[in-house]
Amino acid sequence: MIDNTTVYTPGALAQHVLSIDDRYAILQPELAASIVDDIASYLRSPHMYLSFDVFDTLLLRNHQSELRRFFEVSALVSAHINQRVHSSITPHDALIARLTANRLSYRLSPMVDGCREGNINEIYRLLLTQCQIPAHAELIAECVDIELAYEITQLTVNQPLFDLMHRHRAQGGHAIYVSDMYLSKAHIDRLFVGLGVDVRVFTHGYSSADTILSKRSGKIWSWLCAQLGAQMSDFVHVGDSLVSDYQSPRAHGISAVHIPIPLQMRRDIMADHGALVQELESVNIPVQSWMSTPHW
Amino acid sequence: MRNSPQSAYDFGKDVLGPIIHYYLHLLDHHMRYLDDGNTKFLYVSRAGVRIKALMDVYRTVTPSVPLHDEDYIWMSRILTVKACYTRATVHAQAVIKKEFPVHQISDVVRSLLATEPQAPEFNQDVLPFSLPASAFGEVFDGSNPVFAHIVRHFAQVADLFDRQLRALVGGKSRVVLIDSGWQGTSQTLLESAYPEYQFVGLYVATTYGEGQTLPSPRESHGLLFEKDEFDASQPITALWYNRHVMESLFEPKVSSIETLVTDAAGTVYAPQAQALLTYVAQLDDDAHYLGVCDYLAGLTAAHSLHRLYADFHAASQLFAQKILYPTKADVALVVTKKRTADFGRSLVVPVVYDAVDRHAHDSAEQRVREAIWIQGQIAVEYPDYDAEQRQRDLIRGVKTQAFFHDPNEQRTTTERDWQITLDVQPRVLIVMRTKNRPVLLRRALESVYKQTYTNYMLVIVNDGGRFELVQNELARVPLDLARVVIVSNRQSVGMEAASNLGIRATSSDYVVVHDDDDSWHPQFLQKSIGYLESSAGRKYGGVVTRCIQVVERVRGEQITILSQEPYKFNFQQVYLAEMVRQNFFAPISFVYRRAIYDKIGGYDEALPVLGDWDFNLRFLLEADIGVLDEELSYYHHREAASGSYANSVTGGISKHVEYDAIVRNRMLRQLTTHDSRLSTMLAMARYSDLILQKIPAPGASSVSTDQANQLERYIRLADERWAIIQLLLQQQR
Repeated sequence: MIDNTTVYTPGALAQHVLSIDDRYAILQPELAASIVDDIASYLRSPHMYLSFDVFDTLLLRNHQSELRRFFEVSALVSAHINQRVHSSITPHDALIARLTANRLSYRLSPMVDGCREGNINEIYRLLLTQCQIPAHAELIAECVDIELAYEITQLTVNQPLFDLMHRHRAQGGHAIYVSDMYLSKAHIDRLFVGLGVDVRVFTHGYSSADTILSKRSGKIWSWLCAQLGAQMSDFVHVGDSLVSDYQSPRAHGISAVHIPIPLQMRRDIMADHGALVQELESVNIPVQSWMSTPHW
Repeated sequence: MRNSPQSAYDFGKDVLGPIIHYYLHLLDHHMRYLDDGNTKFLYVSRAGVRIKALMDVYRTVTPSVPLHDEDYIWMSRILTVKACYTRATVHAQAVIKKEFPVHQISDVVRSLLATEPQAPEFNQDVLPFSLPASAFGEVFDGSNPVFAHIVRHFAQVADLFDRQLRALVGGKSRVVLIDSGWQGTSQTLLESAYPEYQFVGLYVATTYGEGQTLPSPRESHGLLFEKDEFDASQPITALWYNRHVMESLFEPKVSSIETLVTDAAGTVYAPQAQALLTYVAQLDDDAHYLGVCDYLAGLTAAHSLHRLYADFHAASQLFAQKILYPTKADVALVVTKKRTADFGRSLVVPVVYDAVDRHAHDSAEQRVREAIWIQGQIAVEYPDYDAEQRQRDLIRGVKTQAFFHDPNEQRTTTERDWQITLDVQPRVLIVMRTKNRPVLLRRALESVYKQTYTNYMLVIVNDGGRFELVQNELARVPLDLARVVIVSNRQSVGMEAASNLGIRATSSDYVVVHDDDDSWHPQFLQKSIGYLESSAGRKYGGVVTRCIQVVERVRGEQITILSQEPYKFNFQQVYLAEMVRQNFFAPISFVYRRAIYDKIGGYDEALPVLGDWDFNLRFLLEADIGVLDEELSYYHHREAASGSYANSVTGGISKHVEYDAIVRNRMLRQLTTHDSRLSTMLAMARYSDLILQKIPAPGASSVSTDQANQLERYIRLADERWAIIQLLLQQQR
């Protein structure tokens, strides 16, 4: 019977990445080489498009929760605003305004082909308005600068993927990034530059803050093909989100490689989230209903 | 049930005040976001008049730049239906049908013509007026003089409404409707009648659940919540149980806008508008509103966002307590007005009935069933100690129906969703047996892919089939491959051995067999696992859902559905005694705890067919099986198929007959073993089966003397056999 039966695990690499304790282990040579080899196995021609997600793929986030990031940025932003306009906004006020602004920006932004997307400039305009501060373009830009500077301190470059991109480009291939994010392409490029990445490695970069069409909705893929004059089969997309970076492109005929966020890291993020939720509840700010399920 | 107006005022000020303050904050910022110079904001009468009044108070203490263009629009649901009838006939008819569920067309006609001073007379007892109201759309045409009058009336109303709307909107392309909620019926009508405008609805809350008459509006936002049920993590969703609180808050004691007219200059206006605008609220019947007004007026510009949100949340919790678990005193606090029925009628309905019989056949239970606010009715009908338990049971019952929410469970839905992605071990093992049926396998993989519950491991057992066929189909369906294992056998080992191989390939808490020819509703796993993990389901070793039997034909890549019908649907519970008689659910419907599988030693690999029945019998000796009363699984049969595409039941029918006897005989031979209970029942079941075959079918007009005698003989025979079995059992003991 033993000889008769063989067991295959087609998602062994993704399973392994899920199980590692240290999120940054994917940067270690052996595992990085396995991931790069897996991606390269889909490159049938040097002229194909290597497409990458940005956050948690090309730029690795740390173990902090999204809520923590919002809260810490809110503290920095509120301090800056108070200094600039002599107001008395607390970090808690700014956090509530930020969470409300996120929701409004996502739900009310102009719809494109059934999709909506938040936008960082709009979010800060809404935040300032809620705090009864005149939302001048200059002050909005300063708030965005603070957020970008903060983000740079939280991110780590996934160098093995950039090395792969450089090799692919050297062979005549294309490399692009496609992000579902409220930061525009210009903002994302500033993050790359701030982290020492030469953005010329990308032939193109796209953010849903600009395109409105998103990976999650699946609407971005045919739009991308039209933009680039390419076929779905010309792409290999790589990312951390099961739905947006793996199932969505595959459902459209695009080869995809899923590099999930390790379970231990998810637990750390959840623990951090839970701790901050408790902390905020102790000052009468229940935030549960504001936070959506992460797209893991 | 009458409380002092002062107490109701305090409720308005202390509880509703902070809630409305937060709502106005959200409304103001939604409006500011949408205020692009090309948008008209319209407060929809009647509620809109009060929302605007409260917004004005809010804005005096929260100074901000004025909005570009806001106004009132004078309308009501019946006026909108009349105005949109010609342009949006199907939707308008649907609203009428819902408003008059048990009425005659005569009632519809009276309502539609209630504002017409010269409405024609008609005999309600003759056709078409005596027909059910639901037939209105079918019989309504201009050939009948009364209907012809209505057609003219509709045209007149449509003209006036059209002039009002176009004058208000001007050249703008977007119209924002501000109203209390809940399903945006008028917005949907307007969207259909005026496709040239983009309508956006800003409502206190939206609920698009059961009982919805029309499609949801294209763009509507519930500012306090968008939910179809109570969610403990958002206490304000308790409003779902008594929306009347908000409706009555925004409803001045002035009738709704049902007519539009023109003045001497030809300008359209609503005669009741002035009364609405100038109505002065009185403490006696508007205590909540006055309380809210005073709360808002007492705010200062220094009121921080932190305090606004914290006060809202604290008030929401108090509000939820009063709505979900009210005492008698709370009912008087919350209900300050009766509900007035609009739509051309002058009916007034109590939100909570007095605890006295309304007629000879009335009862507390009936009043609870019929009350608008059920928890409130429970409070007035029963002593407080009893009422609270009934109120809790009601909420638990609703939640059980919806999502199997366990009220003792502290985690929110979001937290549970997150948790799913954190578990190292998959909770559910799905075993999919396949062999050279790529077309069916693709459908089965898609069935798994579409599941809303994702913490599973799919083990595909390729039992002697071509491995590349499985690989090809896996490449076509975007399943998470980290959740897929393929167990491939060069030689087939048979169905039950294949199941055991698959199940033993990996660990899990639950197991379900999803054969390659069957399929699931996308919520099958979510609801089944939710049930087994709820307090109601924890006592069961497994759960079966209702099932649809699908008869189909496969030609090449094409699957054609020939028929669908409920599969053996007439069971409410899973009785071991019934299972002994025959298997009555398919593996595709059955999710079970792995611990029971381990305990009974898995599937019997010696059985080429009926292995699932044998498994179910042994399973029921260890644990009960719950029933989830929803059709969530599909048991597919190929008509007249043979070879790979044959179904094991239809393709192996002779084996089923043969192994029916083998399974029963083997059980009976175990009379001296621990399985004697089952053996006994197997014997009984066979005899009862014989009897059942001879009993006239239910509904047979009469039983002949011969049949009666024959039946008596069978019963006597069964009694004798039962006596023998009892004797055997005594000997065993």
